[in-house]
Amino acid sequence: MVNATKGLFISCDIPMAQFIVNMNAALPASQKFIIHVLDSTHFFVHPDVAGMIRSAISEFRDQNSYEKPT
Amino acid sequence: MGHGERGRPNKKLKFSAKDDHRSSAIEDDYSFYPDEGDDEYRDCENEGKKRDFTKLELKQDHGNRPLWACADGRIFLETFSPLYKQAYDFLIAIAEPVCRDALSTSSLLAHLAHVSMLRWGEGWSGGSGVRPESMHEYNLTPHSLYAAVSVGLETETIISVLNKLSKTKLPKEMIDFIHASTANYGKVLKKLLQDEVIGRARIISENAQGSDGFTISKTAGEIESGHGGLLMESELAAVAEEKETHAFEIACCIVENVKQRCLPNALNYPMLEEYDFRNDTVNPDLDMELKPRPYQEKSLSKMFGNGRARSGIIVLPCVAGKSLVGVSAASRIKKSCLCLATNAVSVDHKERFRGNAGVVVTTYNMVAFGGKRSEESEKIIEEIRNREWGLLLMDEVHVVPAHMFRKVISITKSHCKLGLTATLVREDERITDLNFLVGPKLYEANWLDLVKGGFIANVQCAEVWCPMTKEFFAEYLKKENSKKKQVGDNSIDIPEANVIIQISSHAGSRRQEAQRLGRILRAKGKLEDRMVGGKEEYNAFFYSLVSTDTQEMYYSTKRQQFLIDQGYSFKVITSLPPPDAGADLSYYHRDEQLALLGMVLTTGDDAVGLEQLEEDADDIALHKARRSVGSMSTMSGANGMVYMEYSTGKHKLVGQKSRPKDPSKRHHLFKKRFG
Repeated sequence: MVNATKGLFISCDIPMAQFIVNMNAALPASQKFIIHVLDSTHFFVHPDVAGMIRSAISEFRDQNSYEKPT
Repeated sequence: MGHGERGRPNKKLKFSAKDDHRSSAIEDDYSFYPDEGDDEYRDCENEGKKRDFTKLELKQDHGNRPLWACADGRIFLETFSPLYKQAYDFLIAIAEPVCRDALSTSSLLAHLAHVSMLRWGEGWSGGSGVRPESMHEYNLTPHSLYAAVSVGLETETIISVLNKLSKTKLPKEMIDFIHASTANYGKVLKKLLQDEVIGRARIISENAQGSDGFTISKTAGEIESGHGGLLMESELAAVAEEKETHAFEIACCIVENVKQRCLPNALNYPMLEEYDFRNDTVNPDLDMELKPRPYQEKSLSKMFGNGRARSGIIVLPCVAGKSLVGVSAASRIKKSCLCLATNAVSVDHKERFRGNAGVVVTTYNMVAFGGKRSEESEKIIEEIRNREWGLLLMDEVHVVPAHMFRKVISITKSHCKLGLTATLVREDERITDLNFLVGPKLYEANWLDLVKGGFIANVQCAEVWCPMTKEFFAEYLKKENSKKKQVGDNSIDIPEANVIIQISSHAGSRRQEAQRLGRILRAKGKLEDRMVGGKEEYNAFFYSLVSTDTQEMYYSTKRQQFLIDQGYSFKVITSLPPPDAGADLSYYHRDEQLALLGMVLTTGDDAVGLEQLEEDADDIALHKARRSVGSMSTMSGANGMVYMEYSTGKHKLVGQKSRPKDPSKRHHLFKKRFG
């Protein structure tokens, strides 16, 4: 019998992959979203977390970018 | 024409009478403006419309004139104009150059460009993409106008020359401002005494003459010869007359308070500290002589403008010869000089002189130290305090606003204070305190002009993006590494270094970045090679390594603002090693990387600050600056040793010959020496 799970396939670069892994590790067990780590740049995660991951990444990027005040 | 008159009709009459000898094009301009022009101005006075330049009227030959003058006192100067040099000399005398990293010129320039294109529908002489290096900004402040009047420039002169150079009709606010600032000059003393703080500080001398008890002396008005082309002969003659000055003495402990009271937030009489060293017979003289470069001359002439030594700050890039400026100032004053530096390494730079009047070179810490000292140093410090110094020379003056260093100024009595620095910014905005602690900014050098003149190196700045490996990045995300390492920031001179690779930025300030860049600024090689298109057009290189996707990106961009605003070109290198370099690079293999990561993580906190090089191939690391903590006897190698007497053999009989030594018994160091 085959088990099938619906999920989201994520493909990214190495640093962001690490960021996602880190984020996952920081969440409590009930909210962890990574189903399977395929390799250093691809993941299989729960389907509802797309928006959350995007906003977390953009926040991280904003922290690292400096905008000169005009 | 008194200072109180401000009517427009009067101004127009004066110009048409005086300008007879000028070209007719200018006179046509003045009659060109309708009288309603100024009404539009008053509408512009609201805060929100500060950047709305569309109401400025352009003159017909605006292409020939180099200045933009704005209502809030800002002046922009085109460096590519044929009149640049004279305009520059004039502006230096009446206005302060703005430290360029404090504002964004580009958006303002965009507004100005918009204005000129709207009005005349033709291409602007600078084009639409004007870079900071081609436009300079100056600010008219009460201080700068005060300085101008004190060298003898009169109000009407200033206004007329500004008008002559300006592309637009001078804004009414600016004219009013100039009148208001310069009107204060000269009537100050009695008003000052009425203020309670200052009145109490006054010391009445026994031989007070005259009804007010003021000491009266003469001073000559001087003016820079560069103005000849812009001023008429009658104006020059007025300046050269002698003027009378009145003076009263203030108790030395309250001097700082008095100066504070005169700032804009209290009485608003901007103070200039001047030292009449030529007429100072009380202090003994000192002998010296020197030869300075043109920009050094300019900065000194700002300081000695009217025959007296003015207190203030001179801003020059690190290797442009700040020390020489300081020494020149000291030699011109010819009185005792106290030089303060930030650390013992920079103290080595200064020359030493002998004589009855002396030069003392020391560090801020030595003078400001509050705790107990040894008896010897106590004696020396007492002497420093009791002596009346002619000149207090402060190197790296940007550290002075810090609490400890302020004490230095109040402890030592000096007639004139000169501060030298390459970077007049601090992250904590206490830089404005320097205005009353030391004095106003007398001169700021333009870095790019200095490069063109070949005095400092032409630096190519590059940022190299380094991606982190997976494991390192994972560790980065988990922790904050906050250990800091301070190397090469201040005063160390590494004249032969051409390249700087900055590895770690750690929340660095703009000042640190600029100071580090200063290490390689010394101009090397022949002048012709350094000109555009020559062999070594860029002969100094500044690389900054930045890890991608980390906080370093943020800090790196922030720090570079100073350099970008100065006009240095920046390029970003996104991938440095060529992809096939492969196995030749260290740490190429994953297990080496993991081993390094492990080592980094397990290293204790104490070793974090200092890097241990296994093999110091050319013995350059820490060559010049080795800092260690210890007592004097440790540093001189005498730790634990005791003085012991021994005979040198001089009492032996003269006739004895020295026996030839047995080679095998020689000390190992000398074995190879004698063949």
